[in-house]
Amino acid sequence: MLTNTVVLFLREMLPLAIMLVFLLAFILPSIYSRNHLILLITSILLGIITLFNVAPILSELFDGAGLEISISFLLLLTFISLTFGTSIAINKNSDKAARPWLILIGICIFSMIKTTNFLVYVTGYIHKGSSGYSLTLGLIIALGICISFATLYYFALLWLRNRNYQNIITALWALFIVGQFCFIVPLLAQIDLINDANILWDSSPWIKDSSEYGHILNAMMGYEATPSDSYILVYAVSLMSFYGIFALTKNFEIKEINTNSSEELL
Amino acid sequence: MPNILCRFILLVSLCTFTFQAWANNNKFHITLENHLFYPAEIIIPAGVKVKLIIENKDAVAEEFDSFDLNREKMLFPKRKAVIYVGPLSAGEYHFFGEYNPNSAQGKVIVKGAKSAH
Repeated sequence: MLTNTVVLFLREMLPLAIMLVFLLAFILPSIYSRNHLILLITSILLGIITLFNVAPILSELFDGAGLEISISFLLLLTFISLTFGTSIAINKNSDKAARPWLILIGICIFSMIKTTNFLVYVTGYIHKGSSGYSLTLGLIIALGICISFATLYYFALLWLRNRNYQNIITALWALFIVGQFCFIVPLLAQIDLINDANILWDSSPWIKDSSEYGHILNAMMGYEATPSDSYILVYAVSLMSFYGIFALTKNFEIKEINTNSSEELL
Repeated sequence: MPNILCRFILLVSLCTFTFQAWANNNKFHITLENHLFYPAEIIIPAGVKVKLIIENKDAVAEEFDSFDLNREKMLFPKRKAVIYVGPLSAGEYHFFGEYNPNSAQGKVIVKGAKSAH
């Protein structure tokens, strides 16, 4: 039970920690106030309560496909909002109003999905009447591992930022967001909306999905030891979309600067 | 005109019946009770997509997990869940209950021409 708690906590919370580390390192402190933080926490809590109660009902809708469809939609929203939000924030677009809300929506939805999954496990554990010792100890150990990893990753990102390796940082962020989004592929495959039977390669002799490196790489960039052609296709298209959105917002900034310069001359 | 209509109805009925027969042949029921999967082994043909219907009879949630099948599904208490797997090559594919991995275990045995491993 102890090991189980650690593994499950890390599986759900590590991606969340990585996301927060990225945002803390580059965006959040500069554009958010305490009111934003209160609103965010309140929204996440409401979202968790809603999803936790609605999930069992959703799971039986549409011939058992309701939950997968809902989670896929939420992951798509997360991808769109975080990609647009961070690209606007990083490119310092003049449309300041949209930027905080897009990122907040992304954080809220992603936190909601991940935390609800873990909460289902915890409530089941408590319902069984098992001793809370293993659960508490497991949570403490998992939290410690999560915080340690997040701290190291945070300083690594700051190191990259101080050396102006913006392209590497953007690439890491892209891989993370796309990796989390590509979780929709197995979700849709198990409800027969996508075919994922054609495995392209098998890297499990080197890094297994179930190993600690597999879990970390899965959290950081959506690593799969046996990816299907559908998975690779969605990954590639999402990555291109990510960079397309970044290029779009950058061009929009250049146009804005040119327009403002013209107005000043007149 | 009535002749064509009769033929059309017959064709539609035949297709529906064939599909239903195929659908029934490719459905497998699994029950989760007292953190154990029944049956623990399912034999399915190779190269065919199958529908697993898992009923959780326990009062707590479980998570159907399989690295071999690349499937992960929450099984809510007193509810059914549906998972599609395949088409698979011949071999054994293990699954387990993520929340109770020591007791909730099972495998899908695929029998057919090609070997997966």
